[in-house]
Amino acid sequence: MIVDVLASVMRIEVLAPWILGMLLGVFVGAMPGMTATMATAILVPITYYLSPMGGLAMILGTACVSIFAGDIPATYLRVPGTPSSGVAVLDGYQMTRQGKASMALSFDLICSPLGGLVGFILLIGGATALAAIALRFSFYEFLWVAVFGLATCVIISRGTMVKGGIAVAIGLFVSTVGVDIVTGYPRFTFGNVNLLSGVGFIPAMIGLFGIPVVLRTIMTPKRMELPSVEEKKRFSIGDVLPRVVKHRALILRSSLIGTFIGSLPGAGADIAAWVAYGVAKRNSKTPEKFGTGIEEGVIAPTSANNAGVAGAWIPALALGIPGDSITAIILGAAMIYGLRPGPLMFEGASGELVRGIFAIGIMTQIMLIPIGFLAIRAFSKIFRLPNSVIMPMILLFCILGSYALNFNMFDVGLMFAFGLLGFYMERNKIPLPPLVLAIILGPLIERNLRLGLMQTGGSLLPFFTRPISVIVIVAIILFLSWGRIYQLICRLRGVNTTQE
Amino acid sequence: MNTWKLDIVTGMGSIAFASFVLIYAIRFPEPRGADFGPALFPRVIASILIILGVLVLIQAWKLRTQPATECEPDPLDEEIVASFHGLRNVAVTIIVLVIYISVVGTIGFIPTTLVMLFVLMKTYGVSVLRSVLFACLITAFVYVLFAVLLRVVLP
Repeated sequence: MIVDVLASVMRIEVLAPWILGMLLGVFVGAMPGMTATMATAILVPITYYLSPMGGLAMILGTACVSIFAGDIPATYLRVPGTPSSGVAVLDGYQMTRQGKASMALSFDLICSPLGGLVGFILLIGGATALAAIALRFSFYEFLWVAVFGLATCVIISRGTMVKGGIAVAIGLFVSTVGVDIVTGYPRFTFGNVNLLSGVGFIPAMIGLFGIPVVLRTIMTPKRMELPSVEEKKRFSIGDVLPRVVKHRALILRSSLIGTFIGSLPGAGADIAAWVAYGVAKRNSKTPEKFGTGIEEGVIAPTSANNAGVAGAWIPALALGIPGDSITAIILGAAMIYGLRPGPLMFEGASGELVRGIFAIGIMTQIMLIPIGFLAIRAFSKIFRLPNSVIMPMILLFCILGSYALNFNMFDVGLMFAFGLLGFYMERNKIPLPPLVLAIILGPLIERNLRLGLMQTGGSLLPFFTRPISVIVIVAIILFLSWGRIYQLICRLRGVNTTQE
Repeated sequence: MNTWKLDIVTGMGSIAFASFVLIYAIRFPEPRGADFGPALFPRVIASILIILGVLVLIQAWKLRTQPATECEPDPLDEEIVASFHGLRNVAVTIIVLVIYISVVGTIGFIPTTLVMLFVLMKTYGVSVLRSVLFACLITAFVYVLFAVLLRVVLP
């Protein structure tokens, strides 16, 4: 069986596009503004000239590698390469500021494929079972999952909870700009056609994280001649491996979280990374160190986001429902190949293709290590240039990243506006991550709240009484109060928790 | 500016912004027989924002009487040491970027980007020769990557 699968994959018409896709993934991931979704959309027309297996291998290679490569600029420059790397700006960037960028990236390089492997193993072993759980979620549960994501983000961010709440409220407001999804009424567009489709998430994210870094650096001229990334000691994979082994439970837990969140339709690798980070902080003996450049803060999100990519394939293959925007595009392409994703896809000729996808997914995680290693070496050389050269380059990438999505200069203006907002927020110790996550989750929360209310004629009761809702609410309460529960358990056992 | 003064700006700003949202949302149409039209969500958010704004003002008022050492140190705090050169850098950057955004569509990506990178690097203290060299290299790299390999339409 395995030999047959490998024989179907080890062909030049599959391997060549697969490797090309992975190399493309490095650039797409490392360039702010270029997302894995965008790369998939660009690749689909090319894949029509390839065999279905070759086309899917190319897309899968690009998606997995770009999710990892997004951590490179997030760690070096605090500009996330893809939305899934938003969390890497926290501890990853702090490690860079402490001269330990190579350590942070080595963790990414090892833990990202490990997370992906767990995700693909779960995909192989339990695609149908996991998809069945994900399918039971309705408006009510999705609302709570989104609220859970926001609550996690407010708690894990630095600064007071009230200021975290303000960041969430601003983000949720930003998400309401544009044509109303239910009635089609244009909200807060002020007659500007560019705002009809809403405020672009990518320009907002690039501006919020990228521009404050540039402004802070150019305001202090003595920092201009310093290299943009300084290394106190270069860490190799060998140095980091024992620490990875030490954190094996964290990697496994984060990968499981990533796979499950990724398998929920509408929740992708980005949300998976945030939730995994939040859970890691909650379970940590030193939660106050999260955000200051701690190993666990790098390991948890990087394991989860690549697992999330695999998780998104679970409902896509088992039920024909895309788990994220990448699989949505792939499903569209698969129909053109003449394939019908769903339970029947695991049988007959298309069954061979599904097993091929599993094999390529696992091979991609293994190949990610050498390709990622070369990518880190190449980018670290660029980022050793002085700030006076790097800052104009970051500005150019911020401009192109926000322009490239819609080919619209209005988005570039929006990016700068968010940059100034981000600069003010940081000065006033208002955390940026909750704002970013609220922009992502805002439409999900609003749609499910309103559709849920419409279905019940305005009653809020089903949001609290449906069995799965109750489970999710209990999970949220347990998560939010875990610190106190843990202390109580320790007190009952007679363990001293003052140091924790 | 002290943290508590910035907090007052944040609190007042949040309340003013939320009030604007509440007033602006009055004009949104309400579907017949239901109370969950396009204004529902913005109203909920604005109401929460007003409460949070008041809480920030209360916190700021309490912080005012506390010594500065009790505030949580922030890892980004010590970074900015504003000077004349620093402010000049910011002013030139903003002017250059506004000009870039306005003219790049007419003049074209390559010449505008070359000039923008050169002017910014020169302002930040890079020598003329190195500025020209890096401006050419970065522009060429970006053009090949975005326009040639990824087929992204550049401005």
